[in-house]
Amino acid sequence: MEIDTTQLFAVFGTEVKLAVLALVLILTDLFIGKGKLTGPADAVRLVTFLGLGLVLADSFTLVPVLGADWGTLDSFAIYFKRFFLVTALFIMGLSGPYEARFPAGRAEFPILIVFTTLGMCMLASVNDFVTLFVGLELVTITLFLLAAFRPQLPRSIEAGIKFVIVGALAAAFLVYGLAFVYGSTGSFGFAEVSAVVNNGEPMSGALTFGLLMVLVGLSFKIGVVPFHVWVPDVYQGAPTPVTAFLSVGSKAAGVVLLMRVVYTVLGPAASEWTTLLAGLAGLTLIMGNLGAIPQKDLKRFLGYSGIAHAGFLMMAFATHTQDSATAILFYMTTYLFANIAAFLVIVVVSRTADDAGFDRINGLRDRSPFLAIVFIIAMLSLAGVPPTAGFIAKFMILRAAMEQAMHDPAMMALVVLGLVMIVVGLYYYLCVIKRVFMRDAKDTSVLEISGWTKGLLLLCVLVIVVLGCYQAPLVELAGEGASSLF
Amino acid sequence: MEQLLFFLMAGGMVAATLATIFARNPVYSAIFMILSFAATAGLFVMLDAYLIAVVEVLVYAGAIMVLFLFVIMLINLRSDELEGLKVNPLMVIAAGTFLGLMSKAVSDLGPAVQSRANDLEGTPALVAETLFTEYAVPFEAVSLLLLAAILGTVVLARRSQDA
Repeated sequence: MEIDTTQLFAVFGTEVKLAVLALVLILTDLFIGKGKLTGPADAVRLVTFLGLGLVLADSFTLVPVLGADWGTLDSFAIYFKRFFLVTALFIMGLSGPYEARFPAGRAEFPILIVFTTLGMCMLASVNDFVTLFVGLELVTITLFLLAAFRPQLPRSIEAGIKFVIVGALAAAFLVYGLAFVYGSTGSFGFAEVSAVVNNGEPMSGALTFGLLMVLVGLSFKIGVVPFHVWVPDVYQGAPTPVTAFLSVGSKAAGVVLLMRVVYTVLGPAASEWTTLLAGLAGLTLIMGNLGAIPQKDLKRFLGYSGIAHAGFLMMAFATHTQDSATAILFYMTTYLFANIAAFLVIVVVSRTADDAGFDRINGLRDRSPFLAIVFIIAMLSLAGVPPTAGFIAKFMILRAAMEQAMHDPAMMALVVLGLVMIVVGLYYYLCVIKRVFMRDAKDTSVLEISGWTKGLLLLCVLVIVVLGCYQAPLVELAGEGASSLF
Repeated sequence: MEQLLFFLMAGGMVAATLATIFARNPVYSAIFMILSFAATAGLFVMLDAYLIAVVEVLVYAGAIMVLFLFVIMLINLRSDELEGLKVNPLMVIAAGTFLGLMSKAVSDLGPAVQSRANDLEGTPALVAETLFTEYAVPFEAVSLLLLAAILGTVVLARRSQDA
């Protein structure tokens, strides 16, 4: 099979640009560094910002291109490419106040972020299982390295090792499943596999098993129970910007792939999987929300909150209608801004320490009213309280699920559980907010915030509030992205 | 004859893998693992996938296992620190479920798997051709993956040296 190179560059243009950017960054480090081991991190950071900004600007000129088995550029892929580039830029901004803690790896940190982003953008375009696996490994392996990026801290090393072991296990499930998928269909392409899945006959046991294992492998990525055990430990131990990247970027990468597999490959056959997906969603909602209550560390707490959000995403997967796909795209975007804002606040309040215990936000109201307000808005959005974007996102998922619940008791039970868990979620998010106002801080010094950080926080808050009040354009964009999956 | 060879290889593979898991001494585990890789390579030869068989021996039994042995020897565990696999009921349930699902899956594999690769498919030329045409995109992605991995590994190794 010959590949048309014009078409190839049209589909993977963003990835090629990111690869060039990564190489330019390595050269910047090498030549401007002039023999110093670490190189001039500031030059590398600047080039990273410029490069990522240009690629992001360029991504707004992308138009859907008809792809082939090796990749596709539909509106869904374009939506997520922009998503990942925005995430990467935010992570770079977020690492600003933090990067002094990477004494010898300051220059390499942005380079690895660019490589991870490249992998994520590639995953947005996958159309066959081989590229899916390779792209996923590109994302996962760079994240292993980033999680252990402060080797002088035992906890960071622990996070790295745990992540490696769990990642290897997930990859093993995925590849094992792929072997069965290939064995029973004779193809790796999504279109061919989907044709066999939906050929009117019941799926063979081998194919079901294969797809089930693929589902398990991807579930590790987004932290679905029972494949979530790594999440709290790795989130707590990894450097804070990396935790933010894991919770937004890596989770979105898993969501992209799950969407392709559930909506495109399984397609109509997904209706037979409703009970399984609904069961996973229910377990995840319960574990995530109840697990978050006793937490005492902000990063670990956001880890459990991330598991709870994965539960809502799984609810949408169990629904498998186009509305639910639209809801997932919208949900991920609101989750991006709320989570980045929360992590940015964590970076600022814990800048003198290596842990992020709950007492760091005690009395934040007095130390910096601005940070306190941003943090509250982020928490309210994560909890899904009305004037914020998080409310609209949860509402869209529940509405899509309700339509299915009319004729499926399992979905009905799941929707009821979801509503109960929103209330539980409200409790622990409000407990965190309470600390900002009611508890007194041990260290009452006023927190200095740089103009950059302030700007980023303002942007996040603005997006959260604006999307909460006026979300039509983004819903339309998400709907367009979702429609290309069906 | 072919069946006899198959059962010899497959049986050897299963036995060696079990021994890898249950051996108390990590060095024995590693050596049993090499045996298991060798048996797998034998199975690939019987499927006419010669290139994969050679790669299996060179890369896995050769390079990767040497690394394993190096690490085991560098860690240099004392004999009282060694303990065999402790079995708990949850492990048995998980493994049992997986085994059940898997045997169901294997029992109705389609004809695509049962037919043997034709003689051409195992040759390096054909593998290379597929790699550079149909799978060019993942192939290039792997090269980026290796570059990123080298970069990150150097950073991690360098800093643990500094500290």
